[in-house]
Amino acid sequence: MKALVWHGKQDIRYETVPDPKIEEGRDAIIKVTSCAICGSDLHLFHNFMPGMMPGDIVGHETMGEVVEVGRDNKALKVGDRIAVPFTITCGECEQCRKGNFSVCETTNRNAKLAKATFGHTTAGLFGYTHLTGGYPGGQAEYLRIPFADHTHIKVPDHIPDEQALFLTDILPTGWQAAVYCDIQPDDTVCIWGAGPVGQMALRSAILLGARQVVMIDFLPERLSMAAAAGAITINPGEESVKERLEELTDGKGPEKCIDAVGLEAHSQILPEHLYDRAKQAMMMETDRPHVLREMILMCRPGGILSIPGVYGGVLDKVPFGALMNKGLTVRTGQTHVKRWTDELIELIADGALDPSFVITHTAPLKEGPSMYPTFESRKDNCIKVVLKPEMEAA
Amino acid sequence: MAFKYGSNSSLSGADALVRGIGLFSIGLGVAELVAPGKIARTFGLEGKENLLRAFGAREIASGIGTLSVDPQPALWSRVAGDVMDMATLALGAKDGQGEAKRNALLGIGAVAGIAALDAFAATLMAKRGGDRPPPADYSDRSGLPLGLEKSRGYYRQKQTAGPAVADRDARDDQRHSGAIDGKEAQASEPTRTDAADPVQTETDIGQAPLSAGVALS
Repeated sequence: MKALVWHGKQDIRYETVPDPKIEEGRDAIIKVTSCAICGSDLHLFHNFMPGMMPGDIVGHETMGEVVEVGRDNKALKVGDRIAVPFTITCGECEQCRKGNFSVCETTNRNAKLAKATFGHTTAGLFGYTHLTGGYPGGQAEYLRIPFADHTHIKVPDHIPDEQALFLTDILPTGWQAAVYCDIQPDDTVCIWGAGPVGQMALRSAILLGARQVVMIDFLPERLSMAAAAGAITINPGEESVKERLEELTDGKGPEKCIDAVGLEAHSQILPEHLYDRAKQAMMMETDRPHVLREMILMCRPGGILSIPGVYGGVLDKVPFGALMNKGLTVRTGQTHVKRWTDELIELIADGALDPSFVITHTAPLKEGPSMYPTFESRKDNCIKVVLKPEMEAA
Repeated sequence: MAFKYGSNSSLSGADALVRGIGLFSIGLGVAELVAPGKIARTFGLEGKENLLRAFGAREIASGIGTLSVDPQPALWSRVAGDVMDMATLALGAKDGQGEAKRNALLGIGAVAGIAALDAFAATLMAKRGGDRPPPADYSDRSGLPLGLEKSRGYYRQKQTAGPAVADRDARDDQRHSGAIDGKEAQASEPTRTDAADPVQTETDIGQAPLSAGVALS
């Protein structure tokens, strides 16, 4: 089959790889109908996440049709149309039973490596480093799904791929970020990063009843998409984030802050940005935590910081004293995708949410290698790329 | 690892050029750091060994930047560095004798060529990922088909309007926070009255870490 394969920094190739096979009884194999490039795939593209090996198939936002099922898998049958949560979950361990699916204790087959890095293992992930199991990803024609009797979302026929695909990651990630904010009707929610997750978090905050949502980003096209859902927008390249937030909140700051940027933040403060870039280039820190620093300083005392943005390792110059003394609550984690599936499908089915708004580019899988730089450079007004294996090249 | 450039790879010919420049820069920087005396003699720059060492450090820094995910600023900094190199070599051409003077003149020509290459590569990197068109207007992409006003609080209202649903979700909250099964969850399972209270909705995931009556110290 054909797949997008990681070979090193900024080196993604469209290659022929062996077809996946059923390896365990609970497995299933799908023929991929749609997959997407996620913002967190760019961390792999930039080689900022440790644990990638040349030859790894990337991609963790995937859906398709079941074409083969393992002998112990009673939950799926050939022909089922499913979306695949990016977190691989057993559904049986203590964490899964609590709904903490992203820290499933069973599915990471490189648990020792994860334990050495994070202190404990986290769930296996598709196409996202050997720290999380080294499972082949879903930017491919076919995908083997381990623990597929639990790791799947059955998609109702009336929901098209363009709406269902994002149930795999960015939609529940944005939703979880907003739910973690414990939004109250008089809250101001401020979201850093108007990329796909930030956009989903914004819609989620609205549906959960936030009085006012503020969105921060440098890119005008992203801000226009945020404004479409009622956000007040701030471009840090044009105005002071601090002054505007104070103006919007009577000088008190937003009660709830969401970091939808993560480890590759750009700071509008040049010395800070150069400092982080230099330390990152010299491998003296893995992540650039500008947004985290700013959020801690901007958030109203007693507020909540919700962090869906991905961080990979060690951060520098984080004002932890401010975090502690202001009594801020931090909620973070990879998304417990299946915890949120039912309500999100319900919102889509109700016609209250249409996540397809975020798609700006649809291309054949074959064009994946050229779509990565397009997405990376934010050129061509690119916000979200969907790849389709069966689509003909233009 | 072997890099592959071309239509099947996200790496382009421009990336190959930039990586070559980055590696050359680091190599030249190391040479200037470890053998400044030899370089000084070659180009008639005796007495300027410390300056050459500083240039070496600059070359290594710009090389690292050139090999980073965003090489364009480092490439432009290399162009500025090339101008400094040419000015320094001009001193060698002015003061040097014989072969050293000739080498310095050749060096100026070579650095001028490298400067042109650096500038060309920086220009190519500006085009990485395609041209930048004017910002698109996505203001018709709300993703909220009911409209903004009906959408605001839609989920909260839906939950408070349906006691059965709210009951279920409140139990889920218990499950997520660890109080699953057993008498604890049973005892605190919300009544219909609880469900109608807008404060007790699904959005309140994660129970308050301490109940109101618990003092910290």
